[in-house]
Order: sequence, then structure tokens, then C-alpha cells
Amino acid sequence: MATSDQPDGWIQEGEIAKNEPVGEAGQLDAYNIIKSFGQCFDSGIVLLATKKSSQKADCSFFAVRKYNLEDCQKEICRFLKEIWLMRNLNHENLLACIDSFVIRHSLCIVTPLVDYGSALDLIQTHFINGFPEIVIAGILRDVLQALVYLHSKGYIHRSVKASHILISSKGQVLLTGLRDAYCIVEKGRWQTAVFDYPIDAEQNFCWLSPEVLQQNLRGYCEKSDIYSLGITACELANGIAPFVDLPSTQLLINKLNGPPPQIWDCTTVPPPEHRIILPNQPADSGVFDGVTACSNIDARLEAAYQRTFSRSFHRFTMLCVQLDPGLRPGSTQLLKHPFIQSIRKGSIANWLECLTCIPTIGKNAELESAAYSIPDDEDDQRFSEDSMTWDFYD
Amino acid sequence: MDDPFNLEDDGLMPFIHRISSEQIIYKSKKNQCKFIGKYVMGDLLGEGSYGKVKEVLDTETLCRKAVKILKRRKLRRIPNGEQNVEREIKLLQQLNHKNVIRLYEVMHNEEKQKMYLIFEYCVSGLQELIDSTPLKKFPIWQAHGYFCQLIDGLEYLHSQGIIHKDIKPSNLLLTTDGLLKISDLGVAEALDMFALDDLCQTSQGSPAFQPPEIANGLDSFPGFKVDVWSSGVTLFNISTGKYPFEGDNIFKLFEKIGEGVFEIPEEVDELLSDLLRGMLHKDPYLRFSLPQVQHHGWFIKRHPRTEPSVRIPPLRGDESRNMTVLKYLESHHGNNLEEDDCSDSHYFTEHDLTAQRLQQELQQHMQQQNSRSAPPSPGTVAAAAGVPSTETRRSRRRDRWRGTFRIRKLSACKQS
Repeated sequence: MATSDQPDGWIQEGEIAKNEPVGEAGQLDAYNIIKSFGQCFDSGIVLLATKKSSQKADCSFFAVRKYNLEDCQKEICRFLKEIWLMRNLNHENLLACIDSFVIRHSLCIVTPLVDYGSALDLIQTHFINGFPEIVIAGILRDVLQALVYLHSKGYIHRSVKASHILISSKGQVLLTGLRDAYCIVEKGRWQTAVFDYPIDAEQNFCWLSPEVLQQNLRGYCEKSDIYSLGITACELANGIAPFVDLPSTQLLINKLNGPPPQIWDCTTVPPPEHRIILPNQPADSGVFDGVTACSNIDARLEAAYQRTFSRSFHRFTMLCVQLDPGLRPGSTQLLKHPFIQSIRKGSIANWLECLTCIPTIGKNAELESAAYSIPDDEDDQRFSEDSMTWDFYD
Repeated sequence: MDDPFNLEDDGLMPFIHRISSEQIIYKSKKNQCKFIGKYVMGDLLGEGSYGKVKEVLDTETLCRKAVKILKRRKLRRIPNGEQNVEREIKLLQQLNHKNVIRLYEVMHNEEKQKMYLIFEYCVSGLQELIDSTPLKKFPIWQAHGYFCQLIDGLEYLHSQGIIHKDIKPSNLLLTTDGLLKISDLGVAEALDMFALDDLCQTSQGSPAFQPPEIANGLDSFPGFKVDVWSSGVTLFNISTGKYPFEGDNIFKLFEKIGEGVFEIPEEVDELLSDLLRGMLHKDPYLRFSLPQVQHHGWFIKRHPRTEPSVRIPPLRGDESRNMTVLKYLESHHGNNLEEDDCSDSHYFTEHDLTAQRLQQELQQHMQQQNSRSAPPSPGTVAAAAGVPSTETRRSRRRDRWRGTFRIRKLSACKQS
């Protein structure tokens, strides 16, 4: 998607590192901003844009993530790392960075627009009780491919989760969220274990592997991403991540000592008469361990009771979420798992059919693509204060 | 009559609702979960004259940390105790280097006359590692690795105008990833910003690591060279397993140090001997400076890993030194993983004690309303029927926890 006109990454990188104030409106000039369509991270907004210079025929969309650097001084080095990784890694299942620059006090990162948004967006809008199995297999296969690549380059992703998986209407699945990635190679040596505790672990508690949370002398390795993948599989299947409603310390106990989370279907959810779930209390049957009774848990379980996931999907998830990282298969091995292989028998279009009716982010944009001026400093301030009141057509 | 609660002495009836709350908390004190702010207390890591060091867990980030608990009462007994702590806090708060221990937070409890210093978690220390080896020393390559980190950290401290004055293996801690952290700045001195040189007048460090100028009782001496000397003694110690100067008492020790004559064991190679002689030079002005140490052949040299590394020994039988707060947390959360037969177990968040109280009140209200129709809870059944051994013990423990929850809630209410 429009990566042909990608500028030389290293020159751009140098500019960011020097933190030079880019003249006036800088490179944002090259883009038509159409609208803002989301928030990311604490202080960031996501803008929809097209390239100005491009011919009418080529009206591909871009997503511009804009962070106010004054609000996120601690995170700057993580953004720089993310940009550096996005520019230097190259894989069809990793979100690439097309351009990045600093304008006044904002950092902009331009990436191709992935028009369905994240897997979490899709869950929340269209698949409240989880995706169909064929879609999950398709998503997980592509995420696994990205992980095989990342691991081969010596990086642990550390935040594999549905909100970091982007899906396009063409069936492309892209992994993002590289700001939490950690390098296994230190001083030219491939480490057997690493010990770094992620800076904002609290964002990823549900997905972080037990060994990352344990912070002991054994450390963790790239297998911790496999655990996160298993949790993501549960999230995609159940529509809700395991452990999600638990207070942090309870989550820790359940994750380290409790039974592993499961995907819910008629084989794991008991019939209605055996479900003992009281409002506002943790479900305590082994099956639902780690999930509290949120408001619509009954509906979720009922929906889950009506469906059947294949045995290979169950086995795949169980392999991933094992407590002992040594027992978990590696990313390359998992690609050969029958559950992932099953997607090859059907065509790619097969799982895309499930998604075709969903409107994409860019769809109505052409109607709205009336000129949108670049906000000056004052407006910028207003923007960060309350993006909801922003008037795009003034 | 079989009394499962052992409360005959108090003349209480063997019914759950009659148990006095003080009794219950006394019995369950063993694994009682303590909070300091957002931190949950774990096991003891170390103990000193000032107080204890314990492992804690930050409940917001789930990051392991360590707390140094200082008791005012004990501090007053140590000469300059309170001033030293204040100075240490002031110094640590302005420092930021990978080889210097990081202080995150300081908390006070006026009622208990205690201070809590939250530090980054260090899994072990050089002294503990050395003590676990038969010859009380490291392989040369490992000693070199630690020494380089020590010098890096010292260079940073000196660049900030801080003289540590108490460098020794027991003040050099290690994190899980093997990073060395210089800790205990209790007797450190910050030079005046406009001081012309690094002359100091006082030192309160450990005797065996003091330089001749202090052993001889000089009025003033160059401060940075004190750290070079004690780093030299540390290097001598971790690479040979011996001390350059020893004495039966502090007077004999200082006599030896004052003479400045020491022997280097034969197995030490020429390059290392040269570095040790340079760092342990009697005259502080002729002693190596930090840059000289950093440019020394032994410092620069790559030392091959000929011997296996000394690994961090198991602590209380735990080889990987797991989180120790878990058992306290389990008791705090009512251990509901074990109690899968109990359908009405509660769990509590430490973040939201008020919400918890409200919830309980609501439940009590509902219980009152439904009291006639609802079946008795399993605990009551067990107690009333006198079901023998395991079941009774189990329900007893469960109810004991419930009791502590209520008590904790009450105390929380009082505080807030």
C-alpha cells in the first residue's frame, strides 16, 4: 500500500534524532488531512490523510499518528524506538512507517491506512462474542508470521494483543505496537534470557506471560510472545480477554497459580443450569477462572455455549498458554500447527467473506475531503485538550 | 462437645458469629498481607542496624521493588543516624545512572515512627555471592565485569560531586540481569558546588576499606581517592578472596593500613598486580585517579571466560528467587483458588476499599432480606453438624479469612 514513494529512512531518522525544528508546517504540508478518527496512547490522535501531490487516480489513504511531545516526555525515546523499528524492519505483516517528522511540539508518524482498524475495534463493533474460527486462524497465522520474523531478528514484541493487530479490507493483517519491543541481542551476544520489565506493563497485564510478571532469575525469552498470542487467541474467540476485569494483584495470583485460560464453546462452557455466576463476583468454576462476571457475561456464555470450536483450535490455545515457557512451541513450530494449516485448505477469500459487510475507515472520507488546514499552535492546544469538540470544517 | 474453634477458654459459644475478631486476627497473622501505600510487603531481604529491608510489589505496575524500613527509635541510637538518612535521600533523589541504585519513593508513618524508602529491586549482592563460593572469590573475568561496572558508577557519582566513602562488596548489589548497583549512600559526601578541590575532613566508612590517610588520622584528605582506595580493596577481595590488610582489632588494622604495606598473592598476574598497587598506593596524590584506572591495561583487557561463572545462590531453597509477595497476596485475596467449593467467596481490591465496603453492606442487606429463603452457607453447615477433620478445618480457615477481611476493612475505615 503506497510504499513506493517511501523516502530514505535514514535521512529522516537523523532529523528526528537531532530534534531540529522543521521549518514552518514541515512535511505535514505534503498531506491533506481529512479527519481525525481515533485516539492512541494517552496523548496521541490519529488523523486520516491523503498525499497532496499524488494524482487523482492514486488516492490511497494514510494514517498520521500525532503525539504532543510536551505531554509525553518520558515516552519520546519509546516513540523513537518504534519509528526506528518500523523503518528498519520489513515484513508484510508488520505495519511500516512511511514518514515521520516533528512539527513544532508534535511528533507525526505516517503509516498506510489499515481500513478496518484493529481486531479489538472489530470485536467491539461487529463481533461482540468473538470472531468465527476461520477468521481467527487467518489472523493468527499472519501474526505468527510477523512473530517468526521479529524473533529471527532478535526482538521480543511483548505486547501482542487484539488492539495491536490491524486488519485491512484486502485481508491484510498487520502487527503493530513495536514500542514495547525488546532486543534479545545485547553487546552482539544473543541472550538466553532477558530481564527487562516493560515500562507500561499495566497496559498489557492480561497478555503478559507469567514469566515476565514473575521477574525472577530465570527471566524470559521470545516464548513469552507465544503466551501473549494464546491470550490473544482467547480474546479473539471470546470477545473479551481473560483476566481483563481483575484487579492487578488478583490477576497475578490467577496467572501464576490458577488454571490456564480457555476459549469458550460448548465443550468448555457448562450448560446454563450449572453456571453459578453471581453479579460482581469472580466466577469460580475452573472454566471461567480469571474472568469476572462483567455485565454481559451471561449473554457471552450463552452465545459461546451455542458454538463449537475445532479441537485443533483448543489444542493450539492450550499449547500457547502453558505456564512453563519451555513447553510452549516456538513461533516457527506453531506455523505448522494443524489449526494454522487449516486456513490453507480454504482460500483467503473464505475468511474475508465474514468481514465484507463492515464499513472501512476510509469509505466516507472522499465526501469529507474538503480542504482541512493544518492547525496552528493555538488550535493544537485545543486539540489536545478536548479532541471531541474539534471543529474540522472551520 | 467438639469445638472446632478452640475457644473454650474465652467461654464463647462455638458458633461462627460469636468469634471475637481479635482472636481471629491473632491466629491468622502468619501470612498476613501488609500494605504501605500501593506496595504489598513480601519477605525479608536483609537486616541492618537501621532496620529491615523487605521485598515489595508495586500493585499498580506489578513491578518488584525493595523497601528499606527505618525506625526513628533505632536511628537515634546510631551516631549521626538521622542526618545520614536525610543526606542519603537527598543525594539519591538527584541521581540517575544504571550502576547506582534508584530511589523511587519515600514514605513516612508518624504514628509508627517509621520511614519507608522504596528502592529498585536487587536480587542479590556481591558479598552474598562471594560467601556462597568455597574460595570466597570470583573467576577473574567475572570480577573484571563487576569492577568495570563499579568504576562506571563511581565515575558518575564523582561527576556529580559525590564521594561514596563506603565502597565494599556488601554495598554492591545485583539485579536479575546481572547489573551492579552501588547502594548505601548513608555516609557519602556531596562536595560544595563551588569547592576548589575534593578535600574532605570526615569519613565513617567500614574500617577494612579505609585508606592510610584516614587510618593515620589526617585532618583533611582528597575525597575521590578514598573511593579509589576502597575500590582497590574491593577488587583485591573479589579477585583473590583475601583482604590486603587484616588485624584482630581496629587498632591493629589501622596500624597495618597506615604502614600501607601489603602482599599480593602469587597467583595474581602482573597486570592486575600493577593495577592493585596503583589503586592501593599509600600516598593519595600518587594513587591512581579514576581515569588512570579506566586506561589501565587490566581494565581495558578482554578477559576470556575460562571458568564457569558464580551464580546467585538459592534463597530459602528457591533457585530462581521468585516473588515472595505471592503467598501474602493469596491470603489477602481469600485464596479463592483453593476454595472452589465455596460459591460465595469474595475477593477484595486494595485499591478500592470503600467500594468493597459498600458492596458488602449491600450484600448484608440482601442477605437479611433473603435470610429465610436462602440455604445456610457451607461453613455453618459444617460447624453445626460437626463434620470431622478436613472439611471443618477447611471451613474454619475460610471463615478466619473472612474475619480478617472485616477487620482490615474496619481499620481502613478508621484511617480514612
